[in-house]
Amino acid sequence: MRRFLKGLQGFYMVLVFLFLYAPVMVLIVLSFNKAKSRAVWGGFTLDWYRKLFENREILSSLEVTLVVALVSALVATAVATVTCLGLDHLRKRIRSLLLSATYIPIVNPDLVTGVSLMLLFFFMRLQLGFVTLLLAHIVFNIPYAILSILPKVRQMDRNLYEAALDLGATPAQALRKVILPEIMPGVINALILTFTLSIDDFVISYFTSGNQVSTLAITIYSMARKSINPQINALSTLMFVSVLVLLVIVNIRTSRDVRKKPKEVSP
Amino acid sequence: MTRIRLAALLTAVLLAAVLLVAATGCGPAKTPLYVYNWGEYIAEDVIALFEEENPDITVKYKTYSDNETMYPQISKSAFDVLFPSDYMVIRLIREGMLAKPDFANLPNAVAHTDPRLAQTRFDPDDQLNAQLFEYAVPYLYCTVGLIYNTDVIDLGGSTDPKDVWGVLFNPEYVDRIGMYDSMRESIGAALNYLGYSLNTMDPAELAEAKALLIRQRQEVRPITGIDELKDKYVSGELVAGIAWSGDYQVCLDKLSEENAPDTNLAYVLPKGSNFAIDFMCIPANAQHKAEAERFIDFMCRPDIALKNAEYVLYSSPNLEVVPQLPEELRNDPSFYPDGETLASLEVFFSNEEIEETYARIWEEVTGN
Repeated sequence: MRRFLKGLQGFYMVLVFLFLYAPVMVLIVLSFNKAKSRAVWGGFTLDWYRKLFENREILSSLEVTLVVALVSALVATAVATVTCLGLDHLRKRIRSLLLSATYIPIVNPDLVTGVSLMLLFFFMRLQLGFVTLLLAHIVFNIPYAILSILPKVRQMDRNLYEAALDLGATPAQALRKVILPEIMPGVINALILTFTLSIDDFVISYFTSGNQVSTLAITIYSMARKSINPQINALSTLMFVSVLVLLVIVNIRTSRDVRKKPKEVSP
Repeated sequence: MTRIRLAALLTAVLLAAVLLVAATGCGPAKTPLYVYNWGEYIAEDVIALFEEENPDITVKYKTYSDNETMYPQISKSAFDVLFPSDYMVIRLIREGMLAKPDFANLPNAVAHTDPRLAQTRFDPDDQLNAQLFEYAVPYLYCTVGLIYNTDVIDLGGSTDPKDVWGVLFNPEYVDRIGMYDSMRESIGAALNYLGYSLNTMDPAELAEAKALLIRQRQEVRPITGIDELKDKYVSGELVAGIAWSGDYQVCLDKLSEENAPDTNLAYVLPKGSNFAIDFMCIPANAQHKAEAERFIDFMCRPDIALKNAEYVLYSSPNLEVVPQLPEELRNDPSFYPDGETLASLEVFFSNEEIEETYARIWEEVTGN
């Protein structure tokens, strides 16, 4: 009976992972398919990858997407880190008030955020383009960054900072050498989360990108009239693999840190 | 460790800043030209060629998925060249959102555009109708016809809408017919089958079309979709369906591949069916009108128009292009219709009254 249950557990896990990863696997396989059709296997080819690197439209939107994702993730995380440290020192009532205010943009539909940002940019007479796109992404990323950093800040022992000062650190040193390392896992999480959210976004980008730039999501969506170009499969595969590698690196690093820590503590 | 992390963070910021400058700042004194086109609607090297021949211009190219996605964007940012479909051009003219190009600067457009397209009626309003070709230059057009499996169906070469669309309403092909989930195309096929205009506002004719479509849903149970239909025609799962000529080309493309299933497909354009022309035009708020005219004329140059027609596989209105196309394409009356068929084709009119009437019918059809 126990063995049967064990087997059932394993079967369930396989099902879950199949469900999660089957679509990506199909995509990866199709990116090497010589035939354009999704129904037939026409042999192995790297043609779509070669064509992808010659396709100016896709490459330029990839560049925009990556730059916006990187810069908006960095800026939003930096702003959120400072905000969280500040929030931690506020009185409880004001803190919860401010926290609820940061929740609202998260539950707000993207459509509302997109349209209102666009209207704001008009009101400010900012021409829609790369800058407005970047600003919009920073804006919607900040609440998510705050939510991933704040728990780490709350977990941190407040006396650490004072202890650092007592031991002769300047406030700047205490921030750099004591507080930041303590909350670093949260900061890294925030960076990864905001980076992916920014790449994911379609609706807000659609309203704020204007006539100059196009993100990958917008470009891919615009191909819907004709068949989706298999180059997109190749591109998605490359993006999936890079994110996977990034995550594996982050995970290896965290587990190494965990293993190292006890040694550092022991005298 | 922290120091390294901070250094990494700083490097990343610097790198991003450099990239940002590279992305936004372009060479000295190049005029940007903002082109807004459908996705996958231009041959891959055409923009690079244009920039090569016009070193003073750099093209900022952006794409959209349908006319309705494009429309709200163009009042918010100043584009220089647009590619709207016929009814959208009419709407833009009506709303004063287009600028007239100077045809003296468009010698290729004047010399090579098929004059027969100007015979088509684009709007019930005479004045608007007459203005269309003063504002816009045809780019490519596609027709709506029937894609069918020749192993199963034999139409005997008929282009009579009664025979052609009759397939869609034939219960013999239950569960094996494809329809677009698209209001005007579906109602249009029913109206064309019944022998009425695609733009009729006669309540009796519309009621008849509605009843026909409802009966089709019950008796023939068509499969609706867009992209996924193509794979089903290719695999033989569906035997016929309504199709844009461009989609038929995609199916042929898929069939020509190695290991493709052994299916024989054909496409037929019935008389009086629908065709849609996409035009190039310049919006009223364009900042670089002279450059836009150069771009439009470049697109009408026979060698460039040929590249685009061969890449997109829609029908070209360029008279110089047609003789250079592969034989099976230029001789196919479904892609390059003869004068009589071309004259019988209709574009969809669009104004509030028509849209509302058709939307109400469509709601009742899909609700059944």
